[in-house]
Parts: sequence; structure tokens; C-alpha cells
Amino acid sequence: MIATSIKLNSATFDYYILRINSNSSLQEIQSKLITLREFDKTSRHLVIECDSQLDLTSFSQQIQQIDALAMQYGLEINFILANQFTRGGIIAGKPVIDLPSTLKPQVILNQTLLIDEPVRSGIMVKNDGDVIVTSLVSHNAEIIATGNIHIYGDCRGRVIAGNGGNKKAKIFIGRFNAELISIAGVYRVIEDKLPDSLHNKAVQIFLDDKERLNIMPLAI
Amino acid sequence: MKQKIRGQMQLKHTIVGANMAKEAKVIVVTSGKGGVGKTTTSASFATGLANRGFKTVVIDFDIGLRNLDLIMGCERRVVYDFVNVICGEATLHQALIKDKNCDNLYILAASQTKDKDALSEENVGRIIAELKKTFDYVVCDSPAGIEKGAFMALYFADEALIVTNPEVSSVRDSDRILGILASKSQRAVEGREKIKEHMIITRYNPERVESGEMLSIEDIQDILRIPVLGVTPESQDVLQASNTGTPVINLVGTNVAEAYADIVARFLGEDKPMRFTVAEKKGFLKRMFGGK
Repeated sequence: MIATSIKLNSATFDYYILRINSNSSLQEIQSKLITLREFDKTSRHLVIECDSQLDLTSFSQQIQQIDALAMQYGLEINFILANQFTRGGIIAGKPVIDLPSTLKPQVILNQTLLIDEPVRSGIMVKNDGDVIVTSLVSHNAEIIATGNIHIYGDCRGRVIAGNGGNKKAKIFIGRFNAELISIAGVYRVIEDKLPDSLHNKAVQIFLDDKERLNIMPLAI
Repeated sequence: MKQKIRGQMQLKHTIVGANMAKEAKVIVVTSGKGGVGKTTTSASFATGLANRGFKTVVIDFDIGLRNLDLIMGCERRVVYDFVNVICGEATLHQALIKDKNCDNLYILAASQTKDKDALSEENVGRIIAELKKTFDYVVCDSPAGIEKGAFMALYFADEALIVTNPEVSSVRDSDRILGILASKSQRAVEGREKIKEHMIITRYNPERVESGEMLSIEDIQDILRIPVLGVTPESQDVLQASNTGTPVINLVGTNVAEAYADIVARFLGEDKPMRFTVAEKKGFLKRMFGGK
């Protein structure tokens, strides 16, 4: 199973691809769905990809059976991936959609961006991967990273880590005075004065298992 | 301690500079915020450099709201302006106005009537390149804001004087301008050595700083992290100077004039201690009988 996200009608959602062929039995598929449920409790979207040549009527039946099965696990089959084996507009009520090549699942390369100069007001730094800033981040400056963010100097701006859904991303700051912190979309604006243990001190910010932002002083 | 270190660093800078051929330097005087003292500083800084023997030209980039010519006292001698030269209606030689006090100083006034749209990177670049052939220093007086006029003024800069008042909104805007200098100037776009940034704190009132109303030099340095070239005190002489059409550095003996002379000296590499940064301790008699 491969997980990736796709933009459809300007809404983004994660979908899982279920690869089947003419030999796939319903039991195999059911065990796969159970594994998926255990792995990702919130997934809802499923997409069928066909591995080998199938007879259209039996394929159609198979899809209907999988659909009923998936419904039991709270999963919904959104569409069928068009490839050399599946053609035609609709099979068993599910549309056959051709993904543009840019949306095909790709391995993302995590590259760390290192910034040695102060990040000034109004500047936005965006990176796919981690970001390390050895100097300060001014008011109204933004750091947006899909991975972790490490700031060794003062942080007075906005830090947005885990952009794109990485809930395990963390933020490390040398002198904490940020305006806005966010991990994987869970954000908090810091308007009131922080307690002395956190204000202008070294902190670590992470999401706990209840998806709440935790700010913990680093013992340096 | 801080000043000693800066003095040593500046000494190194002059030794290296002496070996290289002297190329003209473009200096932008900018701030982001309006009304902090950019035009006052441009006029006095350019006059100070000219008085030291360097051929200096000061350009007003505030098209439509020009006042550099007023401060320099040459508003009645403006025949051709910056936009006339850009559009080819006049040569640089015809537009440049020689200062009445100093032979080394020339002024290029902005247009009062034309639109800012006349400015573009190519034609402004052409004029600055031509000026660099005959002058040692080209001082660009930037308008307030971050729009086209300000952008053109800072685009070709080699060094920048960031003028800041010791209060929060001015410091914030200066921070924004520093960001633009580091990312959108020609040096940044072409990947060359970055613009050398200097801070000038104007309208500094030591009493208000000590009472906590105004930001101190250390506070401002903590936020902006660039070296302080100088501090000018709040003074009524500035208004008097602009009323009489002379740069305030020419009012010899006043605090502000001394401060600007110090700034020019430090810019050229001399080590001068900071003055006018500590509140005067009023003697007994002064406190009894009032007085500043």
C-alpha cells in the first residue's frame, strides 16, 4: 500500500491504493483492510489499482464486493486508477480516472535548509525537509518546513513545522519569544506573556498523543 | 569593550582598502518608516563627505514629493531634474546642481510633477553608472515606504545607512527594510557580496531612554543586529537648519552637527567615541533655576 495525497476539486485528502489482480481473494483483501485500519485509524479513501488483465464483468463484480467490504471498515472506494488494464469511463459505478504524472506517488527527498543570516521581517522561508537557523528570526518572519525546525538564536516570528501533515515534527528554539507556533496544522498564537520558565529560554515544541501542542523547556 | 573591538575591525578594513583601486560607492539612506530623518541625514552626510574632499553627489528619489533641494537650499536653482535626465530631455551635466558652500558636492533633484513610473532598473542603473565615473560617493536619499521609489533607491546600493528612531514602529520598519536589502537588491539578486549595513539612530533623547519610554541603543541592536554608525540627539537645530536651507552639519558647534561629523568620521574608518547618548546630570544650580 502506498500513501500519498491528491488534489481533487480543491480539497486535499489522503488516499490508499489497493492493488488487486484476478487472483486476489476476498480474504486477502479483507486482511489488508484490517491492517490498514490498524495502521491509520482516520483513513477513509481508497483507490483501486489493477495489476493484470481482468475480465470486465468479473472485475465489476469484484469491485462491488470490495466496496461492500470496505464499507464495513469505514472506507470508501473513490475511483479506479486508469492504466493499461483498465479503460472506460465507469466500472461498477466507480469512475476510472487517469492521474497526471505529476501526481503519481513519489519518494520525497528530505533536504535540510541551513540559514546563517538573520531571517528578517516579512521574509518567508519554505522548505521540504528540515530548516536550521543559526541566527535570529525577526517579528513577522515565517519559517515553514515539512520537517523539523531548529532555531539557535532568538525566535520572534512564526514557526510552522510538519507542514503537510507530519505530526512527528518538532520545533527547537534557542530563545523562545515566537508569535505563532504550528505543527502539522495544530497552531497556537502566543499573545499573553509566557511564564518565566519559557520566555526567552530554550524550548522544545511537539505534539502529544492527544494532538495538543506542548512547549517544554530544554535543560541546557 | 564593544567600541574597542569595532575600532580594531575598522583598522583592518582601511588597510585592505588602501591596496585596492578606489571605485565609486553607492550609499542608500533608507528607513522604511517616514519622518525619521532620512533627508536630514542624506544632506548632512553628503555635505560631510564633500567637506572631507570627496566628490559627492546626492540624489533625491522621492519623485513627486521632493524636499532634498529644500533642505540643501537650492530649490530655486533646479532647472532639470532626475526624470528629465531619464527621459533624455537633459544631460546629467545640465541637471546636476553645484552646492553653494562646497565645490565637491552636487545635487540631483527629483521631479515634482512627473510620475514614479518613469523609473526602471535599466534607466536608473544607467544614470548611476554614469555618476560613478566622476564621483567618489553617490548618496541616494530614499523616500519612505517599500514601493517603487524606495526600491529603486536601494537597488544599486553598495552600502546602506538605515535611519531609525528609538521607538518600536520605526525599528520594525527598519527590520523589514533590512530584509528587502538582503533579498531584493541587485547585489542579492546577482549573488554578489551583500550590502554593508550601518545603523544611524536619530532623535535620541537620553532622558526618555533612562526613564524607559524610548528604546536604548542596546535594545535596538538586539532587535536589528547591525553595527551602530552613530547617534544623533533630538534637537531644535534641525528645524532651524531646514528653515534656512542648509544641512544641519553646517551649524557648527551644535550637538547635531557634531554628531553628524562623528558619523562621517566613523564611516571613513576613524574611531570616535559615542557622544550624546547619556543624559546630562543636572548640576545643583541648573536644577534650582531650571534650564535645559
